[in-house]
This record gives sequence, structure tokens and C-alpha cells, in this order.
Amino acid sequence: MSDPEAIRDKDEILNRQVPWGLWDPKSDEPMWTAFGPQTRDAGMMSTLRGRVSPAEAYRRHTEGTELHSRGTWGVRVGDANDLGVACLDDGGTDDNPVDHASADFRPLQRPGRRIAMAELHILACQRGPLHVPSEDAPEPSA
Amino acid sequence: MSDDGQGVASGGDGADGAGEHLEELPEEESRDGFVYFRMTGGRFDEGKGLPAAAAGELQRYAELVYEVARLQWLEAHPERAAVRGLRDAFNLRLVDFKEGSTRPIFELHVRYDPRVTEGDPEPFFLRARDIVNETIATVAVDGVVPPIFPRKALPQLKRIGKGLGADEAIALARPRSATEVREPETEAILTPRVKDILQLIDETLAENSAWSSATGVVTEFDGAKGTFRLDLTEGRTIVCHLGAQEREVAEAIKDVLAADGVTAPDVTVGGTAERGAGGKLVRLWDVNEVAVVRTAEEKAIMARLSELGELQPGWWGPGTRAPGQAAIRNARDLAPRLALAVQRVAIGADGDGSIVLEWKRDAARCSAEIQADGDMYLFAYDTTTRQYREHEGPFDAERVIRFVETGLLDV
Repeated sequence: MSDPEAIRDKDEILNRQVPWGLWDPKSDEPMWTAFGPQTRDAGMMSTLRGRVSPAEAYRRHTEGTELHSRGTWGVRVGDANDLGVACLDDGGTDDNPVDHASADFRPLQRPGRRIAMAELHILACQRGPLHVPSEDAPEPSA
Repeated sequence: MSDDGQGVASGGDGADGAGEHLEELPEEESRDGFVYFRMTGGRFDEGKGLPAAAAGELQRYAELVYEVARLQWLEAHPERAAVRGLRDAFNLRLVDFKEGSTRPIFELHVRYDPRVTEGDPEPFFLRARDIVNETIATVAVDGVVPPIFPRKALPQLKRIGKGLGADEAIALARPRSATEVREPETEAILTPRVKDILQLIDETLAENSAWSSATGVVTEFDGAKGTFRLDLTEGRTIVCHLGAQEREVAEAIKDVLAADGVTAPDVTVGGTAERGAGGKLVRLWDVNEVAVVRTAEEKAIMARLSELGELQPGWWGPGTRAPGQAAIRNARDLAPRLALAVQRVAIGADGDGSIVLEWKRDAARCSAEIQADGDMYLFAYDTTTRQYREHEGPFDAERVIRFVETGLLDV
């Protein structure tokens, strides 16, 4: 299987789901750790490509899974690149679903990763949520 | 005393038996009002006026007299479980100050409805005043509480004089008649030493006292009735009755009231216990102490940590870990101090089993990762200068709190 290719369109907005465990209810915003890799070991942040609508990205993340999300937020490919984070089109490879893309934090050391998270968080909050589940959506139990 | 239950106590001599000496009270006017009450030493001898902080002493004195009167009334009416109308009847008013504001003059305006209160309650108030005077005199001289003092009123007795400085005192005596001019002999002198003795006595008797405390959330307050509901942390609800003259406690209770029935600090309130079957506390009477034991913010932090502790492996996708026990435990240790921090800290979990704290400080983004392996990683990033600082090492609660409060990482 060939290595995933970097996404070239700098203006593409990738869909990032914010988990309940990294949601700050008081500020009603995600925490910035939500804009980094799920584990330090893997070093990859999971997203769906911009061609998927934010609502559809939310549906795919939560429907039929044990995963919860407070909504879909945006990560611009060019912004990530400027912080040293490549965005890779890895949909359908390994265990990834179709339309999957990974933001690759692996080249960064721990401080660099934290800085990238903080900057991506600031930009995502300026942009605002791309999709927020309706009030009718079931609340996560945990 | 007039027939409609209104009258001003002359404060005279001879009220040495409750409920039967009203006719024996002298008609002559008192020189000192309800009681001779004089504050001396320290702040009371400096400058003009009464120190505002000393006003609580007057309130606590009134509360003590009322409580002793109430217990005397109950003793005189063994067939009754509660007093009706006595609280309303006890209308002790501060009408004047003498001698540079160190001698407050009280007048007792007794108001009662004969249809509600069984008989004239005034003798009980006068008797209570004398019991209080005698008790303080006995404690000061002999170091014991005399048998005449009702043990159930020890909590109120313990509270009077609690604001006195080391060189300050309160002298109490029966009021003089209008014709007496020499200062009364004041054996009843409340000093810090007397307070210390009272404290020791109270501790000795605590096990046998009806005094009790309960911890929970105040969910309803009825100012007119002087009652509030306390939802106990153990899950039951009890009704609590404020002590007479307890305005400070009433205000404190209102401050901790859960407006939404849920969000409020945990408080411990103290009063006289009424127990039901099996000794279970069912009601607190004469509540005169309230203390916050856990703030609403601290409770919210603990609740958040409990929720995060329930996350399961894989909660954020394949390979992510649930928060580790050490991380949760260490974060809980931080909760009381985090609750007091000016910086509002967001609390979350990452996929490596850490608890993550995040907050903003001016242009800086700060975070503390409380790791599952017992270590921590502190990080501050200035979004203006793009400079960062970091610290990694074993978990150190003091260092985390200092970082939250000051933004400093290097000390």
C-alpha cells in the first residue's frame, strides 16, 4: 500500500470532531487539546476531508459508534502546514474510513505540538463551529 | 404590663422565679434599661463610638438571653414540646449608648398575644437575664457553669464574647433603679479567659448535649418563618429553624442558598437536634452556626472529575486510554485550590490517560497535564511573542497551583 499523500489544497477545511471530554461547558468552546493527536504515541489527529459536509462528518463519527462529539470544527490545511503539521489523505488506508485525513504532528516535539494545538484552536474558535448537533441529539452518558 | 400584651420591662429586681413574680416587679424606672452592659478595654477605650465589629456582641447577648428564656419556659411547661409566640414577644431593642458608646442601653418591649402565648412571657426574659449574669460571674470566679444554667443553651453561651480582644471585657449586672447613681458591682465580667473556660466546659459536655450539626445544601429559605431546608449529603432532607436574633446566620444561609435547587456550596449548620426513630436527625432548632465546607465551584470541579473518571478506553477513538487513577486522584487534590483561583480553569482528558487543565492568562495559553504515570507537564505559550515555557517532572500540587495563580513555572 502506498504512503498517503499530502493534501495540496491549502484552503481546504478539514472536519474535526470535538469529544465531550475536551469540551469546556463554561466557555462553551472546545479545549485546545482537542486540536491535537489523540495519543502522543501515534501523533496523528483524525479528521474527515473538506468534501464531506460538517453535518455528515458528525453523523459518520457518532452514528453506530460508541463515540460522542460536541460538534464539527474546522482545521484549514494551510494553517496546519504553517505550524509544521502536514495533512495526509489516508482515507480507506489501514483502518481508516473513506474520506479520512490525518494531521501529522509526529515531526514536532512536545512543545511544538502544544503550540500547534493552541494556534489551531484559536483559528477554529474564530471560525466557529461548522456543525453543532441539534438539541434533540442524545446526551452522552460519559 | 397592659392587657393587650404590650409593655416595657422595667428591668427591676426580684425576678428570681420565672412566671410568677410579675406583680413583684418594682414600678420604678430603670436607670440602665434591661441590663447593665458595659464594654471595656482595647478598642472600647479608644476614640469615639462603638467599633462596628463589636456590634455582634450585642446580638449574641440577646440570642443567649432568648435561648435561656425559651428553655426556662419549656421547663415551666413540661407538657409542651415547643414554645409559641415567645420569639415574637422578645423584642429587645437597642435604644441608646452611654459613656462614649461603650454602654449600650437595651429596652425590652414585650409583645405577645395572650391567645398564643400561655401567660406573660416577660418574667422568663428577666429571669434569663439574671441567669446569664450569674452564670458568667460563676464561670469567671469558680471556673464552672452553675446548675442554674440550662445545658442546652451552652452553644449560645459559648458564642458570646467571641469577638473580644485579649485586653477587652464585657461587664454585666442587674440594672440600677432610676435613683441609684453609683456603679453596680459587676462580678459578671466576660473576658477572654472566661471564654476559654467556657470552651473547655462545652467540649466536656458536648457528648451529652443535644447540640448537633449536619452537612448538606440549602435549597429553600423562608425568611418570614426563619426556616430553611437542608438537603443532606446522605440524601435526606431536614428542616432547620434559625435561632432568635441570628441575623448574621440568616444572611449567611441566604448567601449559600441554591437558587436552582442544586448549584450551591455544601455547608455545615449547627443547632439543637430533634431526633426521630433510631436517633435519626429529623430537625435542627435554633441554628446559630453555618460554615461552608465545600464551595459550589469546588463541587463542580469534583463532579467534572468524576465524570471524566467514567470515560472508557477508546472514548476518543481507537487506542485512546481512559484517565488513569493517579491522574484523577492528583487532580482531585487540586480541586479546593483550583476553586479559589482567579483564573478559570477548564478540565478535560486526553487520549493518553492524563487529566488536562487549560486556562488563559492574558495572551498566554497555559496547560497542565496531570499524567496517569504520576508525572506532570506544565506548559505556557505566549501567543503574541510565540515564546513558550515548559516544566516536566513528578506531580507537585503546590507547583501546579502556583503556576495557575501566578503564571510562574520556574520557582
